[in-house]
Amino acid sequence: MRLYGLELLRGLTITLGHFIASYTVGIRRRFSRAPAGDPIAAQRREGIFTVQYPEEQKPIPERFRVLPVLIFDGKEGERWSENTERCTACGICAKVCPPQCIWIEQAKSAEGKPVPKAGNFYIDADVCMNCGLCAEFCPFDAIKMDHNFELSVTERTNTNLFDINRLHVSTEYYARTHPVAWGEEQARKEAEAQRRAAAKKATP
Amino acid sequence: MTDSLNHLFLGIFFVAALVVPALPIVLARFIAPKRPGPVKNEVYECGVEAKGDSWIQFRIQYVTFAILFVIFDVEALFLFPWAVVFKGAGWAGLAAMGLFIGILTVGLIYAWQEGLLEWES
Amino acid sequence: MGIVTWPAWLETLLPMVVKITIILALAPVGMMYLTWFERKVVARIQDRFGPNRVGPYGLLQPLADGIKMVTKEDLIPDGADRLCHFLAPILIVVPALYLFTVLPFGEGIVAVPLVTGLLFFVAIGSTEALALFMAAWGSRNKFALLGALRNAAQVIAYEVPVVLALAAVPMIAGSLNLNEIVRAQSGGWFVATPWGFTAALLVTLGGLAEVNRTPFDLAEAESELVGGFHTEYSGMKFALFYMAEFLSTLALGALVAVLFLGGWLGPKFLPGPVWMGLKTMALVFVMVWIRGTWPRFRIDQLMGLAWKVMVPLALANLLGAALWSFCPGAAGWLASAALSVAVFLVTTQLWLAPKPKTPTHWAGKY
Repeated sequence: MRLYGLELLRGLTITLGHFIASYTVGIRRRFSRAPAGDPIAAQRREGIFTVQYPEEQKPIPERFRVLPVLIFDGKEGERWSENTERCTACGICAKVCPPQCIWIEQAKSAEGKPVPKAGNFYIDADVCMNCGLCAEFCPFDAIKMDHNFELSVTERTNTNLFDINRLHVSTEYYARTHPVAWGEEQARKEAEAQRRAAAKKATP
Repeated sequence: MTDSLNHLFLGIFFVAALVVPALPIVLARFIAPKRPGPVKNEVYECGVEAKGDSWIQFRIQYVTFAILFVIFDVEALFLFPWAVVFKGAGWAGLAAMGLFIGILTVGLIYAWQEGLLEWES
Repeated sequence: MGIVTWPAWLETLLPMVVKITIILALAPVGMMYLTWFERKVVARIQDRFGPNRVGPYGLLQPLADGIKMVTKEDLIPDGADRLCHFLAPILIVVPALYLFTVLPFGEGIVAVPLVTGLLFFVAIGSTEALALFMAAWGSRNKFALLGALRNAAQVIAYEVPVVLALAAVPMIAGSLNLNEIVRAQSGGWFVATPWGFTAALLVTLGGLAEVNRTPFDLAEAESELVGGFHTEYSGMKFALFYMAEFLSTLALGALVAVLFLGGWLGPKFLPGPVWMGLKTMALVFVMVWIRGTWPRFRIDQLMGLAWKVMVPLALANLLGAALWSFCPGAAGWLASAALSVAVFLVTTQLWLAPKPKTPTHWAGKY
């Protein structure tokens, strides 16, 4: 013996609960102070969970990666120059790139001699598969993965071939988007500098 | 309004009501693009080429249910006039209709027992 | 006395034209905002926002949808019966519009005060299955025809319990005129009586099946039959099928409000039509709520529910109404309630309880 039909009613109470919560939770959120950290994801357990994308954005995790960028030492808003750029045109990134979307032109000095600087640097954004191998292998911390995924364009044959001007971002920008990795990099360089200084002292 | 006027109203309403669905269809004929093609005009069968006619045989149960429906709908036809005068007819009226419905109920039970109400074959 | 004396025929015709214009102008608008309402409510049930981009609260969304539908190409398959294919969407909307002519929206506010209003409503309402079958037959598509046949089986199956349940109302109210039925409820709404509650439940659920709404939308069944009867329809003709469905839903809500929830009756601080509108909206909300909750029935469950539970329940309900009417007071009330509950329990057990391994079948025994 079972009483049939009760589960149908139970289902109705559940959906009504969600219907009501979609209003009450929204009101509660509006009048309560947003919790520290991620204000959107923290309250997604009940009520409406839609992230209204252009206006609202979920925070991007640090290891999120889209296209690679080149790093130069400087502040945001500055332009890169040959003195501040980190890339030495060694070509390791171009070698490890699985879809081979990197093309590097080495810079030439006034006499026409090659110098360890990138004269131009191309990445085909349509071919890049965001694997991050270039950033892993770069011995100079010159190429890093970016966070900016809002790259949609209406024309792709010309715009999506990124050149060196488009690719360069400052260290300040990188430190902002990747605080942990930036901290680790600084610590590593500090330790390296100390080790070198100690070695210099030891061998007069 | 008298009854004949009511029916006149319903007649006029039919003509007027035709406008509501017809207007957007006619409007669409002028606005919407018209680019038919041999593939586009094929009968849709999830991408597979349609084989044979769609006017094929269907299972017999549709008919048995239709027959059951006719029985009960005729019953409903008798039921409505009776229902309107139900209060005046008293217990005798109830007994008469009860007998009628009772016979049909026995028929329904018989159909159930015979498995006519089962859909799976 | 007016200054201008109209000719007699104009004097009878003018009010008709006004009434027709009001119904035909308001019904599509009501349908458009019903789509908005449904999308909003279902979205909230699923923890979403629903349309909120076009206009404030997405209020212009139905308009945008309408413009989109008009500008879509109208496809007619090559093998189609073009006349059937063209007429079906028109013939499905017209009866849906007819439903609003007999519904009273306030004390005496009704376009056609037919003596047989209830019967007219039921009769007109069931013609939609015909247009639906025309659509499927005309498009000459296997999915469409399967959907329409299912729909025919479904509509005739649910027609029976709905009509039987409706018959309980004129038994007590003593009239088929919807205005009279509302007036008969001035002492108390019919839904507050055991037979009225059962009948309201049967009419609402059976009505959902007749207007092809979830959980009874086997004729469309987009997960199995592509689009069912409207597989081969696009653009404005496709939209007209939805228009018919939503208009019928609205009319069904209004009918249940009139028959069981006392129509325009209500405390005097609000006018009658407002009460009627509120009750209709409440019932439409329940229908949308059901849509947002229950999954679609299988066809055998659908037929089982109609023939094995709802028909016996509706038949017993007639007896319940008679008992309630003849034995006033607690005795009739309890007898009527007990009858409904007992029939429901017995039929659901017989229908759904696990069967023994060797089926007891009369034909095998004798």
